[in-house]
Amino acid sequence: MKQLSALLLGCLFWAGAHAGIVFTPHVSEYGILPAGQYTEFTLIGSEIEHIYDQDGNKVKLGVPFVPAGDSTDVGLGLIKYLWIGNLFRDSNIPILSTRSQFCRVIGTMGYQQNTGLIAARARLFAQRPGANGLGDVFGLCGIYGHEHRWGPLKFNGLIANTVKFPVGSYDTQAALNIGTNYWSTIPQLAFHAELYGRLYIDGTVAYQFNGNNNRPSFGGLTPTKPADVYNTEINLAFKWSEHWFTDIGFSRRESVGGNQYDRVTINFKDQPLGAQTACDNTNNGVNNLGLGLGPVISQQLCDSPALDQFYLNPRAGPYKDKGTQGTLLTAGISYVYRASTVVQARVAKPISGRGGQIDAVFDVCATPECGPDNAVSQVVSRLYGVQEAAAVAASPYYELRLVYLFWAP
Amino acid sequence: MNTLIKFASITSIALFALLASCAPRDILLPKLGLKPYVLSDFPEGFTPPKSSETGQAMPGFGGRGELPHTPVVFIHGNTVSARYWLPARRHFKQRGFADAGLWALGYGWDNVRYFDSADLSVQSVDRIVNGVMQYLSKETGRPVQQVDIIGHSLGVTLVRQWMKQTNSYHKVRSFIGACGANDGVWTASMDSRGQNRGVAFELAPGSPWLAQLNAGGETPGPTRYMTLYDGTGWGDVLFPEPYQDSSALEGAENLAYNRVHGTHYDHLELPREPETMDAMIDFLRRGQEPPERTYRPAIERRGLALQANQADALVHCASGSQYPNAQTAGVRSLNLAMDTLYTCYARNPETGLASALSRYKVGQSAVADQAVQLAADFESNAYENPIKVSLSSNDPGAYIVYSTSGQAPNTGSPLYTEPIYISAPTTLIALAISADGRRSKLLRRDYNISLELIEDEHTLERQFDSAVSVDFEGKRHKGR
Repeated sequence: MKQLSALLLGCLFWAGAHAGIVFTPHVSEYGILPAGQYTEFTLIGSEIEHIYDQDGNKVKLGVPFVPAGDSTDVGLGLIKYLWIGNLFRDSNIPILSTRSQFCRVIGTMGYQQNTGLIAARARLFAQRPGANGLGDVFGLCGIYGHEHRWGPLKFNGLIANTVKFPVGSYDTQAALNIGTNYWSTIPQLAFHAELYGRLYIDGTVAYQFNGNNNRPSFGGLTPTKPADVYNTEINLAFKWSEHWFTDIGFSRRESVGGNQYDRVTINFKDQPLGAQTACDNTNNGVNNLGLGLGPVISQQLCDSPALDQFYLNPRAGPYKDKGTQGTLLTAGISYVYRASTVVQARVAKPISGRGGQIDAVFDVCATPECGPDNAVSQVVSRLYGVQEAAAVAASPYYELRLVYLFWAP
Repeated sequence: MNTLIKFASITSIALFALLASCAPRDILLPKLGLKPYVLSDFPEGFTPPKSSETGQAMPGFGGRGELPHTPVVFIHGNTVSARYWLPARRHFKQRGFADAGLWALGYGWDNVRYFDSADLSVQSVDRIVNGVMQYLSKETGRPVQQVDIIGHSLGVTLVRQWMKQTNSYHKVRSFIGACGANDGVWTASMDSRGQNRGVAFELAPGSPWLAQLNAGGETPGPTRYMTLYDGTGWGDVLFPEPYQDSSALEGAENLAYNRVHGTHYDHLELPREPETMDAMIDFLRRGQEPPERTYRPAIERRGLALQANQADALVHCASGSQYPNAQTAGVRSLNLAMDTLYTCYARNPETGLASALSRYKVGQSAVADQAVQLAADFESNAYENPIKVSLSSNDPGAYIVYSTSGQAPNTGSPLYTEPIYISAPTTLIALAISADGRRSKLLRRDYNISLELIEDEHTLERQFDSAVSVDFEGKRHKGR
């Protein structure tokens, strides 16, 4: 099989974007703010019609197995709560006494649904086409460095560590998931700089250590051993007035090595396949099942009256993809209302990427309990990995962000 | 790697649990049985006064020993504390200032969660200045009658309000206001609803509070004034155009430091950079140091003439609603015109010491056969929004003075010229004085401009049933 499917097209790539979204910096994201507590609400939406394949090509979701036009529709809400203070101030504890600490908790909730024929295709594999609910929780703590000034340039750094708590809703039978089902810890270095009081620069480098996912979803096409990922991001904002800022940003995520999959079970729900169906999908160029099978069943077998049905069964693995990469450009505009409210609208446009794909081996059998021992043939299908660790969207997303300080004027 | 991840996760969870309540440190740590570290570097024998906002002893620093110069008291701004001035303490010491002459005390909550307010902290500044002067007088064995004050941000308008409400100009030889919102700050607004709405009411551009603070002159009294601020509109985020000169005061030595020197110091940096501190030190050192064991002059009235009780002292007066300032020319003796109100202070140019402000008016009372009475149009109560209190006397020729500091007003207290803007929990005490010298009884009103009242009026229960009574028990300062 050339491609068992773009089964995973549109699958749960969104959850994969979580950590990236969390780390995409905003205006003064890493600047030293006054001690206190801050709240932030972010609404992110996208209609994903394109994703990246393993070669960096931008492909339409579902094509060629379904006509282009359907999508994965995504709405994601982030609630952030930030505490800044210094538990050790006025003490004689080195380093801590003079540097503020901060902690941030980020809750997520999401809506993700495949539309139309893509949703229908998921059902061919006994998978649910969408998932809604509460997502993973991110928590981070860190410490600011001192602020330095060189003429018109003001600068500070920070060091932090984020932990992703995999508490989000997670359905092993779903094509899309809100939660990821594996832990991550993400140490981070970041800086904030201001030039002439008008140009604000925020940047970060972060390395995401990922734990294992022992319950992969969507037939094992979420990696069981997600690769670690490093993030580099920078954001430049210009202050036009006390109320108006515009900013542009650059964000790049790249896995360190490939993701590993060792529990692949994705398969057609309705088996056996009729001989005509199987043959149509192998030799006759009909992709009604979206198998994209190669000429693995000989015409002789197809025509044999003794073989009127076929079974498929994937080998669990292990498989490894080539790793992922995603590069975004962002552009936004912010309005600051007094000191209490910031409203920001932003668009993030992927400019390059690489999604995870594996070449999975399927046994083709004429009898049930299909496996290597009774296979009449083997086929290889190139499958898309799904979810945070494996899928990379090529469609833009839109972000509306509200920062509100209840106690400010 | 899994072990590492689990370890990092558990560590982070533990830290989150510690900070879960996200409360201010001074509230969080005691709940955990821990005593928060507090900067309390005071000399033996000095008892830090209680803050009128927090009810707790103020943190801060001070010193003892030789006192060869007028002591400097640093007053911090909003959301920070005395710690803010530690770099200034080090720098001033390097420039030869004595340990006993450098003081800073934290009057507020030291946290963004609970903003401070000028009106709520006037009493604190009074306690700070008087406490330092009393301690140093006792410690040095000679009367310490003046201090220099350096205020930053909210500390600028706070000190100015303290001097005005308590008639304490004579206690301040030199005042340096850095980055103060003397004409307002853009982030403050008159329709604020947050925890810090008190200070927002005070410092909103064009607010009645600022108008009353600036009424009669922006640099009243014998005090020397200097301001230090950005001036470019970009360095200090709180003062963009058109507020870039909000910090300047008419009659002061105004230094828009970034604009003049091409620097880019921001709001928090400006008063703590070596070069800006050197500019402040230069200003302070140009002030006159009083000889030891000299005392303030006082004004004596003999008939229609005013003169000082010290031979070398001069009387400085302004008429009408104006206040005299350091530039007001002094005279040996002033003859009072009938039905004209004078505000005066006496100053001895030999010692540099001055008297408190006092007012004088001579004439006939329209109610000579009646007691002088004073009334206010708002009774003591809790109010949701700021109020403007009108005062009226049965004697139209009487002048009215008042105070919102909680202290009884004297003739040098703020002059009532228009309804008094009350924007924070305040005790208003007023006094009417007829031209013939008779005085009304003190009028006292307790006003609580209360966020808590708003909250109690808008409980969820009352959203469904407006007949539910408002469970409001009375004055409760914000942050408590």
